[in-house]
Amino acid sequence: MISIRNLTKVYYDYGPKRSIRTFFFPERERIVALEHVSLEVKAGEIYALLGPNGAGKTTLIKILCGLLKPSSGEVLIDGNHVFGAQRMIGLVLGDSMVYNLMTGRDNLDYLGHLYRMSDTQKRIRELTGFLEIGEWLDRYVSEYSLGMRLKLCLARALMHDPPVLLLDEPTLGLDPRYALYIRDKIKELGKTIILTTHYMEEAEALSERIAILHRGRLVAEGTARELKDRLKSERDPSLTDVFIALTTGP
Amino acid sequence: MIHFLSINRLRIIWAIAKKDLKIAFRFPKNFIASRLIEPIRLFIVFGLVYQSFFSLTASETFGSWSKENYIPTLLLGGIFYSSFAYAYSRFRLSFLSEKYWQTIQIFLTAPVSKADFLVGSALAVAIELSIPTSCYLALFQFIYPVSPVSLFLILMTLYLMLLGTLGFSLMQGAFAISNQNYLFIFDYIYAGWSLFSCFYYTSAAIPEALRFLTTINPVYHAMEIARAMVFHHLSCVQILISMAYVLFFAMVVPFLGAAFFRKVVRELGVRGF
Ligand SMILES: Nc1ncnc2c1ncn2[C@@H]1O[C@H](COP(=O)(O)OP(=O)(O)OP(=O)(O)O)[C@@H](O)[C@H]1O
Ligand SMILES: [Mg+2]
Repeated sequence: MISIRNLTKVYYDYGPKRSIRTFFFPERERIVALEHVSLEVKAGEIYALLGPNGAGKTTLIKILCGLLKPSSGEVLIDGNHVFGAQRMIGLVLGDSMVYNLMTGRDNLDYLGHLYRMSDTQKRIRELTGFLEIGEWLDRYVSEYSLGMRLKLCLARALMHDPPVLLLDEPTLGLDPRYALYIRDKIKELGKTIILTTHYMEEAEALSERIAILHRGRLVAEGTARELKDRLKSERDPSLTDVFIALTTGP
Repeated sequence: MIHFLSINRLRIIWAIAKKDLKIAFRFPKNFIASRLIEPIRLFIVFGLVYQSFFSLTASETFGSWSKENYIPTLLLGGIFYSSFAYAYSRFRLSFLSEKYWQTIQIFLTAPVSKADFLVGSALAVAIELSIPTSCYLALFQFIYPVSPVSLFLILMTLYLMLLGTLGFSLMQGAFAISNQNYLFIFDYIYAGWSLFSCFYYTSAAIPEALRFLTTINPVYHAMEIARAMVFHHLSCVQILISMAYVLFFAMVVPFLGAAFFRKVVRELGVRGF
């Protein structure tokens, strides 16, 4: 369903150094965010991306949805180039992509129209039931708490009922009860999902396969069981142990 | 053509316009009041200058400008200038805001053509500007009554000029997204463009060697068409030619803007969010 082949992303950006010389001759910094990453995600699979801060998870998600152009390599979604597959993708990028100056309902309604839905209000009713967000949907988003924003972001991603979900830290800042609830809901969806998270239990509970990124490279991939088996030194290691063992060092 | 005007497409365009309007009217008093002051800001300044010119020099006319018609003419200038200024910076401001609000990703990932965003935003701009425009055109009609046909021609040229300017604004939007370091270029262009549009004076005020810059400037032609409704200084043929040029501007520049935008954003991506 999603295939990523030999993906490399290098950011060239002007460094923060300020001097008379850099004003006229700005120095570009080269940051390698992803290096030769290849992976395949099957239809209906939930695939978790783990990795330390700055490992390149968000960069990967942004390339998958067409927000960033890869420096080299290729991404195919159901055989299509990303720009031809945008309608198939639901996207959560942390708590961004909602208008503070509009109400939650208006945000969802706007998105529904962009994706050419005929009955947006019906879909909003379905989602409010599904995600239990009806109570404050008609308030301005600027008045939401972080968790409320995230719920709205999830509803936003589900609005046009896409077969593929790209979720960048979808449960960051949710209370444990609601996080559990959301995980159940995500599992229920039966969609092809790539999600990034810093919660090991979430990756373990949700996903069939887990990949660990470290400094832009894919250092391990497999089921939680397979990853744990790689750590032979310890008896009954947890995923956290595996994560730490694989992501220390350069 | 069927595709161009399909119901679905109109619904998307209206949704985009509605979004812009909701954001603009989040704080409605502030929005309406600040739009209402714009057309009369420079109108007052130039009004004082012309008033003292006519009273101090005892001259009755200045080209087609006279004691009798300078106030309605300046009022038209104010309406056109404030609309031009608003449209010119429209996409720069909206894209910069959307970048910092982190909502630009919606625009970049939605399966909607960029031209639809342009048309939707243009519709929102037209509606937003209809408040000051209708107020001041009513005032204009009160102090200097013209025929309904003239009024219609003024409105039509105004909106055609807006469409072309918005197309140009999309190029700034591209820079706002991809390379903010060079946005200043558009401030310089603006300074020149508004100078050579002669909103508040005649092209006679421009040095002869530079006057061709007004002739090639479609916004100047739009302004001249509107002024001709007061001055009657252009023949029908001249008005038609100017109108054709303004129409050309309104049709072609948005496409150039959209193409430029697509190219820059695809090539350079988004920087700084
Ligand atoms: N716009 C940008 N310009 C330059 N470098 C960037 C940009 N965005 C990210 N980077 C760099 O790319 C690398 C990967 O960043 P990314 O945001 O993908 O990490 P992440 O895995 O999502 O981290 P986190 O867990 O903290 O969210 C980092 O070194 C970061 O500094
Ligand atoms: Mg991240």
